[in-house]
Amino acid sequence: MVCEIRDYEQRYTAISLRRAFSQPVNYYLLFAAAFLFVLGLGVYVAMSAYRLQPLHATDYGVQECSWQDSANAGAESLRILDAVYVEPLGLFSSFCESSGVKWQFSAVAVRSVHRDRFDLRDLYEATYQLVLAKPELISRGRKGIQYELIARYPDYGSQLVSLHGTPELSAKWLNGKVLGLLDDANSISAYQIPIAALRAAGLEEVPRIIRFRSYRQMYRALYDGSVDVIPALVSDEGPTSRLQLPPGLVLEETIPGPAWYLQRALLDSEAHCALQDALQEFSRNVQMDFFRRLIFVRSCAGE
Amino acid sequence: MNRRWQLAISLWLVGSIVLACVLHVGSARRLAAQLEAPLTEHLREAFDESFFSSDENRVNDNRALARVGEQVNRALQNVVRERWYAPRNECAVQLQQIDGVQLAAEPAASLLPLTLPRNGVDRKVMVGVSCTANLPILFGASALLGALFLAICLRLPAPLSATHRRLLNDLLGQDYSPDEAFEIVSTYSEVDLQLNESQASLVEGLHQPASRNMAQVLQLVTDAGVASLTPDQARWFALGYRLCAADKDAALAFARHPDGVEIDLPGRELRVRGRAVPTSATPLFYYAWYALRRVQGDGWVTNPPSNRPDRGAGAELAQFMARYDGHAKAVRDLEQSGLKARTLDQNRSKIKDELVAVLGEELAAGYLFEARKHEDGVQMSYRLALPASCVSVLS
Repeated sequence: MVCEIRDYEQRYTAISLRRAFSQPVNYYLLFAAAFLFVLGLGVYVAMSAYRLQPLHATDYGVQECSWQDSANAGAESLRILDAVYVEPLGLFSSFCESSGVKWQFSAVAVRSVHRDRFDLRDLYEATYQLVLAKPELISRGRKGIQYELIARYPDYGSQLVSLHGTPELSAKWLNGKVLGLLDDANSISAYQIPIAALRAAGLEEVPRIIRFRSYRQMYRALYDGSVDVIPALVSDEGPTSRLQLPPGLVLEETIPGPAWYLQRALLDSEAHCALQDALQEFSRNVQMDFFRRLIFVRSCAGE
Repeated sequence: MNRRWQLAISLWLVGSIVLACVLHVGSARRLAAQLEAPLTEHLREAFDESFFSSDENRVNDNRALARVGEQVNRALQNVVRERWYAPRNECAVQLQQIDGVQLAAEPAASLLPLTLPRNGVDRKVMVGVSCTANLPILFGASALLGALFLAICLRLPAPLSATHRRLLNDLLGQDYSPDEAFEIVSTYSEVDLQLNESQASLVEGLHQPASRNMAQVLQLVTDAGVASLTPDQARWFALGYRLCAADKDAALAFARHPDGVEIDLPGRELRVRGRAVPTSATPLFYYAWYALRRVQGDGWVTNPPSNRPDRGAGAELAQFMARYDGHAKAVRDLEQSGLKARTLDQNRSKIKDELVAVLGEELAAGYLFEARKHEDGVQMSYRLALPASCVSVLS
């Protein structure tokens, strides 16, 4: 009896379900429900399908090279600060390929900074063993800094150059022209002197001014015609130099050149000699005559 | 393949495409959403503000941007770890462009735009995200969808068509229970339920709502033999089905039998389409007499005038009846009084009653009499409605 009732109930339920899905709307809604089920399942699964590896904070402003050698295992790394921004000229490779440097240090890290981002604390805390900077930058922190001048570049001048002939500080010449400047108020030759000259002549508002974060881009803009006139250093660049400029309007002739400063603790050490060799190699290989004319002020004791 | 399966396959194909697109696009968006915050934070740490100009008419240190960008791209290699069931896998994330500086040579499949505020200016960063479709997973999703559709098609019958629903509503209107009506209707296909005229008339004739016999009736009318009957045959079938105690084959034979009447005088039996129709003897003889007239000539028999019975015809009929042991009184009346119009009328009426009682008015009509006025304009003439070829008198 119980079995009969159960069979009847099951049959009744089956018929009722079949009746419900005999309506075309309900029948095709069932297909839609199946589709939505699979879609929902797929979306739910897809939402948890991806994980990200953590992105660690890295100092991308530093170029590094290292080597593992039993001779210098445990040696510290050489940290160089380029506050003149000669990085494009091959500074990094010169130190990384120096055998002397490899002997004395376990790695080389070079940071090139724009002058307006230079942190004086790096000088006070002697963060770097070797610093390339303009003398006026170092003289700011003269008391208390632990660096000694070991080599310098010659004095240079500041001029305005153009591919459309020698520039003139006149409204007639500058009208309609685009002047490129370095986007760094600390730069004497590429900002301070040109701006002062324009102001003195009352011409600051005449040319359209575009400011560049790097010398390289400013020079490139001159050659690709984006700007008509830029400030450039006055230097006797020979035919083999990468920097070839037409004669320009000289604004200043004597500006102290950049210099190399070494941590006092390393003076006259083997490291000092190794770094000196590396600087000489850099001078030999650099493609600008100005940077080939490196003058050693304080040689290492071994020489 | 019937229409339901074709539709199911079409729905599956369309559904699979939509599913693949949604999973593909959805997972791309999900990945982009997951990448946005950590990537923006990393770029803020990676790209020092000193590389960027601070306002209009200022140009970035693009070389430094390119150098750092290259290092960032190295760090982004394998940054995405996909699980095996991800709809898209082998995902590569690369910086494409930062503030106008192009970093990647090859364009990516999709771009995630980010904003990096540097030196008070929002820099546009384009991050390329390229993944490949995880085909096994997409096919698996399609297969799951197909399996569900297949289960639906196999487990559930096709939905009721308009024909089914019309019949269902008719049954519900005749107090069938919903389940009973559904079960009856769903037993047949739409084609089966598209009844022709013959079938429809049979359903109308045989269905008795009180006894809820629609299931049996439909089973009967959907029989191939029954469905092929002409409307006229269908009427005979309905009659035969009742006469033959619901014997379908006998009813079919009855329906298909050629129209015709057979009068077996020695056996005193009237057979319509081969089936005996109970009749009284005297009306039978009169019917046979009309039948013989039909077979031998045009069949018209004119009633004699009421005041002048036809003695000749009376003697002939009496002799005819006596030959087959007709009712003695009837024979005597004819011999003595002749053939009267009233007698003819009465016997015709009796045979009509007997035929109608068995065949019904409609079907009996073909086996009764047709009338016309005699050419004298006074008397009526009558003859069998059946053509001579359909009449057979066995003597």
